[in-house]
Amino acid sequence: MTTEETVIALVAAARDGDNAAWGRLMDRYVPLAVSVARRFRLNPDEVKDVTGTVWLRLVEHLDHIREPEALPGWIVTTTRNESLRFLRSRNRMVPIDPQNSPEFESEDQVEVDAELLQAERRQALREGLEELRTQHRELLVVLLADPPLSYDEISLKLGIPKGSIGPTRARALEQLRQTKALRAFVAKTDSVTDRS
Amino acid sequence: MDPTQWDRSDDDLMGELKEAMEEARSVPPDLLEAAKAAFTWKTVDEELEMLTLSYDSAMADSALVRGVGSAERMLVFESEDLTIELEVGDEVVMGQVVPTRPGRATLEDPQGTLQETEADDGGFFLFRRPTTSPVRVKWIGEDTRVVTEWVPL
Repeated sequence: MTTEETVIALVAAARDGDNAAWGRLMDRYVPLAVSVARRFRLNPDEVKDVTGTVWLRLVEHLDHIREPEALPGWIVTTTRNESLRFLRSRNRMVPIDPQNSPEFESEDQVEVDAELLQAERRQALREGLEELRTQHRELLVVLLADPPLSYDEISLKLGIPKGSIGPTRARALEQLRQTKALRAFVAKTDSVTDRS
Repeated sequence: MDPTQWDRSDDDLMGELKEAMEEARSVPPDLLEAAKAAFTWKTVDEELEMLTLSYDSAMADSALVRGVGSAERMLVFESEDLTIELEVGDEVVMGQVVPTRPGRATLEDPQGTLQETEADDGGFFLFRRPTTSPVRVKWIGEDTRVVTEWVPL
C-alpha cells in the first residue's frame, strides 16, 4: 500500500466514481464485516446477505461520510445492527439490543463486544502489515505460510541469508508495532476506555 | 493481556498476525465479488432521493425474544415530504405512499428489477414477497423520484 492509498483517499476516489478504489476498499474491509457477522452465528448465505446489505448502504452513504477514518467503526456498527435485524426478523433468539437497553447488558453482549474489539484488532494488524516495507512484509508473510517453510526454504525463496531471518523478523515486528494502523487502534481504544 | 496494546511477545504477535491473515483468506470469493459489484449502484442512483429506514418492527421490540409466528413486519421509510410504508407478509409485500400520489413502484434486489406495479388511487401497491435479499423500493411519479434504503427481508 502506498501512502496515497489511505482510507481517506480511497473513499474520496470511490465517491468520484473510481471503481478500482472501491475494490481496494472492499479488499480491505470485507474481512472485517464477515468476521463481525460470523460472531452472530449466521450461516454462510446469511453472512453474504447481511454483509451485502452493509456494502449497498455504504454505496448509498458514500457521499455523506464526513470522517472516512471512522469507516472501520461504521462497518462494525452497521454489520452488527444488520446482523441483529436479520436474526430478529426471523424470530431467532438474540441478545437484547444494547444500544436501546444498556441496563440489560448481558454477559453475551460483553462477549460480543470483546469479539468485535478483537475483529478490529485483526483489521488493524492487516492494515499495519500493508504499511510495512516490502522486505519486512514479505518475510512475515512467508514465515506464516501454511504449511510452514523451513529457514532454508525461506532463505532460498526471499534470497536472504539464513542468519538474517531472525533479526529481520524482530525488526519487522518492531516496525509493525509502530505503524499508523496499530497506533491508531491503540489511540482509539484508549479514548474509549477513558470515557467509561 | 490488555487487548488494546501491542506490547506482547514477538511470538504472540506472530500468532495474532496469522489469525488476521487467515481471516482475510477465509472470505468466500463470491462474497468479495458481490461486495465489489455493489458499486454499480452508485451512478444508477444519483438522481433519486433517498428515503431512510425510520421504523422496523423487527428492531422495535424491546423483549429479549419475539414471539414465534408474530404479526407481519412493518417497515417505514421517510424523507422530509414523503413516506413509504411496507407490510411484509409470508406471501406478499403491501406498500403505501403517503401522501398519496400517482406513480409506479419497482421492487429491486442487487441484481436489478424484480417486480413493477402501478399504485392505486390510495397510493397502495402490492408485490409478491421476493425470495432474494436485500431489496428496496423505487417510486417514480410525475414530480417524485425516490428510493428506499436497502433492507434485508
